[in-house]
Amino acid sequence: MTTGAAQSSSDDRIVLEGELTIYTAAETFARLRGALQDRDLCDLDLSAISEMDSAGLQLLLWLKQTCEAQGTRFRLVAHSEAVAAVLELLQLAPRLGIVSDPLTEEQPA
Amino acid sequence: MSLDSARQAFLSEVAELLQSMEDALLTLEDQPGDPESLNEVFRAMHTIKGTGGVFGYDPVVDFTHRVETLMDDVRSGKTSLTKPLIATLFACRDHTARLVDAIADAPEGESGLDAELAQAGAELLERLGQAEPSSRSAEVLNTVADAEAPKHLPATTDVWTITLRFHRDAFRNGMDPLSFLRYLGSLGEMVHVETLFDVCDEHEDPFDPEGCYLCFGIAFRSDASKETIAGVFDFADEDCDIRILEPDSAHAKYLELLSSVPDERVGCIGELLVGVGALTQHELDRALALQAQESSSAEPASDVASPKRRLGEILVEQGSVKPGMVEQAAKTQEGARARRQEETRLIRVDALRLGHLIDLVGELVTSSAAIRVMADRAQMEDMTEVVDSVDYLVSEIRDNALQLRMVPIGDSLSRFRRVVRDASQALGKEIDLVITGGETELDKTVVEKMTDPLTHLIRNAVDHGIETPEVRAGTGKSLNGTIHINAFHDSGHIVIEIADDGAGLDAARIRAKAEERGLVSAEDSLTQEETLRLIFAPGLSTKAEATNLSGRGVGMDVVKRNIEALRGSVELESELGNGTKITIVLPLTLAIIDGFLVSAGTDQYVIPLSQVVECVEIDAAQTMKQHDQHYINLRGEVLPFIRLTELFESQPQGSDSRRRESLVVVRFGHHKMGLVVDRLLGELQTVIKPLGKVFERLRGVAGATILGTGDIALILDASELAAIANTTGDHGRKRQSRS
Repeated sequence: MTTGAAQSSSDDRIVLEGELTIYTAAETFARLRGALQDRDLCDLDLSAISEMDSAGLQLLLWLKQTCEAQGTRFRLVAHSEAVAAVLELLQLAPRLGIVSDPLTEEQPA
Repeated sequence: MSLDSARQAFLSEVAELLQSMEDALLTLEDQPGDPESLNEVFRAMHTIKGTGGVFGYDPVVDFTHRVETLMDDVRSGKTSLTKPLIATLFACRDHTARLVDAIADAPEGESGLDAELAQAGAELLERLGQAEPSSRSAEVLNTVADAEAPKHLPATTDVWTITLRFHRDAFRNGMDPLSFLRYLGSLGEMVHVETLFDVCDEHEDPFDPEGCYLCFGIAFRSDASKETIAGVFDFADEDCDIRILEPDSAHAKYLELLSSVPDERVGCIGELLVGVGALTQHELDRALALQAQESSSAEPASDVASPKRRLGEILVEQGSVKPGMVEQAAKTQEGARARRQEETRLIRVDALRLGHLIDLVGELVTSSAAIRVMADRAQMEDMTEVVDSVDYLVSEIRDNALQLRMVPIGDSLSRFRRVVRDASQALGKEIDLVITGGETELDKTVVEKMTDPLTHLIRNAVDHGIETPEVRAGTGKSLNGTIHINAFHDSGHIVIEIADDGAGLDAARIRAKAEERGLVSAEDSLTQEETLRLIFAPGLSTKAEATNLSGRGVGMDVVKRNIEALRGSVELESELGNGTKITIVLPLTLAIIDGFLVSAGTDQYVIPLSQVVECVEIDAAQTMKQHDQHYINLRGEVLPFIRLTELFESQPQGSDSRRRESLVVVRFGHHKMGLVVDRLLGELQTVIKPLGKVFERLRGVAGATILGTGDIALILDASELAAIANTTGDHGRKRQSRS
């Protein structure tokens, strides 16, 4: 399985793919922590996430909180239906700065 | 409890509920939104439905169920409460009463409904828009079961507050908090979700991506009971701190339920809370376990048994209930305890037994008066002292015994609100009823006997007195007419005034009508007051057309007779165009009074002490001079008087001009008059014995009493004497010419 592979794309997004669940949490966490080093902009692309559970959500919250703590700008630039469903249930969309529909990408500023 | 007495209890409960429903409806007419009253109506219907179901009175259950459904819609704002709807609800209330009556009267096992009643019910439901038989049978079953079971929270629309704090190991134990929230979402609406990511300080306690740091605060809107909502989190229980707090509306509901839990079901505080649905059994178990655990762990530490922490505290700490709830539960608990004691203080007593007691007290009063006479005759100092204290005790017993029958008149007056409302609606008039002095106490039997006359007088005021709004507007009065009922105590009597600001009585028309009926002849000269009093004559009505309310010319004479049968009197003041005031004066009680004993000639008389104003010694010669006039100048005041010896012809006239006489001034209402007597004999307690039929036509006498000596004294009726005094000129002259 292509679990939560983080790729650095050209515009320096952090892209997570596949499951974002308790099963991938540790791995993804390690990856994200590494990716956050010396970064002042964190554009997260979740458009390829197929499943997200509480642990995945928690990771997202951790990421945002950590970014804020170290002064990194956090943006969720794209997300999938699976992510949207969770965010909608918990009414977290505003908190994560999402105004767009799933899959529509926000233009980098 | 036999079925019969249970039925009886049911009937009286229904009567009470319907009364409170009626009061609530009346309030709603003035303040349509009053939530308290809405609840009252709902509760009345709900409870009648429940208890009706227990007895298998299906038509009642059927009917009340649909009214209840409607009220539920009204409470939740789905249906708005309009004037016509309130009117229909009044009708529903009456219909319920008829249903209950009809069914309770029906022979055992026969619960068939006569067609007329069924038809009336169907029409009412049609008007309510509740004609569709909803999923009734199932509901009825529920209700029947519900009546005995603790009543759970009825539908509310407010918001529950749920907080979930998952334990660190929740994920590792296979929990996915999101799945609970999804399930919760299926039960109602998640109004707001607050997700907390609670990782304190990463340096000391590095974030573990597999540990759970999530807390949720959820505002949840649902009609589900607390039990159901808590059920969502059953599986999470091990890994999560769950707090479910009821919405404020439910909170109020719980508090209300708590305060209305029947005493016999008040057990432990926890069970109480579970009973009303404020607490789930699970929450209780957990708190009890904690309590047990704490006390067991505390015990080895100290020899003295450490006081157990109170369950309420634990529950609040756990966040299972709000502190107010525990307080209310504790209050209910205490209340129940207090009431259990109070129950021995409050006893329902058969009125007959009470009547018997009062009769006995009456005999006791008579006997103690006899002892007094013997003691005086024997002239024994120490015996007199004992008699004094016995006398005092007897009078205390008498007052207390009579007090037992006293009830505030307000309860029976408030039923006239309905009379006025119905009558004024039927006639298209706007009438406010103002009741003051409702706390005035009166003998219960008197209250009961006054209901009919009062109803009649009030109907008259509504029908004849108050004009229609158009007429009122024309005469420059406010559109709303006012009927004012006032009650107060006045010198041993109770005074009830019924005043209206209506058209007043037309003396000329009364006169004309009376002449037409041959009650008076055209030559008779009558004062204004005398003319007005003609309406108390049988068969006189000035209303051109009889309405279904009043005006058939029967009634005022019956009113007067009823009041007089209670040893009361009725007076009438009226000004054409400005309204009518009827004043009823009644004795406080029927049985025993404080009297003032006098003698005139060979006989003794008792004057009710409360009517005695003063006693003045007068020269026989002085009154002789004014004999023909029968008026005396008392300190500049013209006072009519009656010589009792003359009135009752108890002694040959004018034998002894040196005789000293006394004048007893009595007051009745605003009349004052003098009674000339030979001797004043002092106060005594008097048991009123009615005179037999033979003496029915004897005027001026209210009854007789047996004195301590065994002699009989007549009890004078000041109001009748006053009437005699007013015509005494003729009286005296006739007597004069005869002797």
